[in-house]
Amino acid sequence: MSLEITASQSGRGARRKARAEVWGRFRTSVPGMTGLVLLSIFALMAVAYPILIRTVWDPTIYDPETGIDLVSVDKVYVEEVVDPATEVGRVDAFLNDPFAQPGDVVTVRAPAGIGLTHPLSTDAWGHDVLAMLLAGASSAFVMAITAALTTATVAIIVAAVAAYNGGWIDTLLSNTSGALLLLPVPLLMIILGTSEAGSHIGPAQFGFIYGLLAGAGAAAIVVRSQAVQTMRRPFIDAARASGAGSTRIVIRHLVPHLIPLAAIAMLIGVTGAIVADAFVSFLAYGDNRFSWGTMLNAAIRFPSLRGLFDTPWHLLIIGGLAISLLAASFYLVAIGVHRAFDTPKVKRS
Amino acid sequence: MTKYLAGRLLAGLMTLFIFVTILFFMAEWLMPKRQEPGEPSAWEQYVDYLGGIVSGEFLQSGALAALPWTLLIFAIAIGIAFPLGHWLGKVAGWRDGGAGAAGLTIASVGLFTIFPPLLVFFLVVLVSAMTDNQGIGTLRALFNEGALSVDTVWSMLWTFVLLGLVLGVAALLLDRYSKTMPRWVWVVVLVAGPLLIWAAQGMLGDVGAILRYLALPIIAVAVLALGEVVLVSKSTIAEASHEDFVFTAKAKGVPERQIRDHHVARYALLPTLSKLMVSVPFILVGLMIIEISFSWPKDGAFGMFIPGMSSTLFTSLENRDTTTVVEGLIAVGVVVLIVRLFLDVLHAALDPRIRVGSRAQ
Repeated sequence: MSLEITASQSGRGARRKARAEVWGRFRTSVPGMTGLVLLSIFALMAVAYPILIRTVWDPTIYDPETGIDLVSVDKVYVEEVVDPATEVGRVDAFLNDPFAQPGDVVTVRAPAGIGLTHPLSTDAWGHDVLAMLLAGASSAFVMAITAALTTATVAIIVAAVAAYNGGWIDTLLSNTSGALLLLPVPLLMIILGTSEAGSHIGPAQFGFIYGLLAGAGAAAIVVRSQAVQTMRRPFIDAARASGAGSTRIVIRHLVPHLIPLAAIAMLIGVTGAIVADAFVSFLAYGDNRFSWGTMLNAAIRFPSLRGLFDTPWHLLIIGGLAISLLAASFYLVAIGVHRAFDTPKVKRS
Repeated sequence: MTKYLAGRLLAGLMTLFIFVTILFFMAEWLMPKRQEPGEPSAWEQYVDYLGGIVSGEFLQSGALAALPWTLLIFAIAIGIAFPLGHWLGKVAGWRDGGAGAAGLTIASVGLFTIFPPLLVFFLVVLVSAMTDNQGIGTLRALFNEGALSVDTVWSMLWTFVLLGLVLGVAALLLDRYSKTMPRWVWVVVLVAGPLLIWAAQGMLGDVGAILRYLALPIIAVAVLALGEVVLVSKSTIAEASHEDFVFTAKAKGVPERQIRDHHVARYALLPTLSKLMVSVPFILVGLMIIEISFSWPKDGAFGMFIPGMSSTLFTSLENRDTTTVVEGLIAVGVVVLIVRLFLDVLHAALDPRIRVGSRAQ
């Protein structure tokens, strides 16, 4: 894979033209544009929640964790009773009578229907599903953006240092990257998140640690090979001959050529971070913040009380799709970026 | 070729050493054990730990007991996903562009990035609906009756490895006489061969039970891997279809379909394999997440316990058993390394430059 910056570096006009060309190529990529649209929607969702909860939405109803709107109630025949001592929250949610015995008919909270007040209805506990969806977006987004930027920065630094210095520094760095590649970073993050330390790790820290490991591992390997190729090109010698110092060569001449590839590596790497982060909260570990994983957790724990086909489908599918689509949108944008920076070969047909 | 492979093996061992070292110090840093007076220092523990790995004591650890299950799921899922994905990528990548190709790309990204618990849930609901809510119960009974033994899983894996080796050696021998083995031989030997061997050993029933029990996780992993294989092979085919030899073949009047299947697809096989090497750890993570999703929550509606690596890893994580967690991670690393070495061998066997280059020396 070779990605080149085609236009010359000098001149503001030429740079603007190059930028327009890159955007023009990105626009022709259907997957890339799809990803960009999806990503914008998620960004809007992340911004919308804090605004809505401060202005329109009443927190006592719309807060995803404490807000409750009991619109309707249902009569249910009790088949099995969970030990109230350990399952207080769940018993409270389903059976308002904690002393109900199997065979009794009790009142339970039932989800509100779809309407203007609850566009995506509520779950069995009375939490608004749309509010949950929007509230989960911001933490997932903060995590993903931190992970992406850290991955790209670390990858560029490691690759540039390795390729510029060469020799034993290069050998050490690329062997370390190779070793880190053996370790699936999402798995390590899941282990870290479910361990004791995980309860102190917020979304930004999660993204940062992920970015450090992924950036120094898989992403650094890809970017390093590009950096080694770039170092061999004549303009580096030209810069050196005209008296440019090492910092200037690396920052002005080497790094700009690594950015497209680092961007692709970070966008693809982020998908793993999103899945790992969501999985930790799906298992109800981590720092207990509200996230999309929490929605799935609630949805899947529900049938363990009432049977598989009673699962709150909307909760599960909306939460699950949000996670999947956020991960997919980063990957799709990566495909578009690849198209945008890929120098078009002569097409013969 | 021997020299090339020896070099790869040595590089692999070097990587493994660095990997093991990083893991040890990372575990010390993240999950520090309380340092008591009279206990060996971190450095002595490190030397001990390396000694344990070199002397093979590591092979006795509990972390490895569940490995064959994970390997079997991985191997079968990849065996399904790779040919199918390569074929789909070939068809979509050849005519670079078009609504169909873009749609397939988006769909493949969707398959690769779908949140595994959601996928698992869909599969379980589908099976339950199709079997009148009995499917998962029967599977669970299969497990509880103890019909699934790890020994059977081991011998299944060995059968595949042995048949693969026999086929590989046969292909190399034929190649010496400038002949190629027809593709159907591979399919017949790898499908009918195991069945005959298992029937001869009288373990067809056990194998059937295991395959039935693992069918759902295998499908889930195959779906995940399929997306990635399609994406990778589509992009390499699209790149290769602009090469000069394609132009030459067209000028000679070779039919389009033959150029695609015999010239471009073969040429693109190697870059596809080497790009997939990077994805192997991620597919393994997907596999482990899928394993946990099936058995979570413990009292849950799925209640299918998949006795793989992830169950060992998470049980020891809950018990704060750092040693086993680290050993489990080493096992994952070794699996990735073995897959990489396997791909290197395949690379050497497929790439005439490596084959002929070393023979000339």
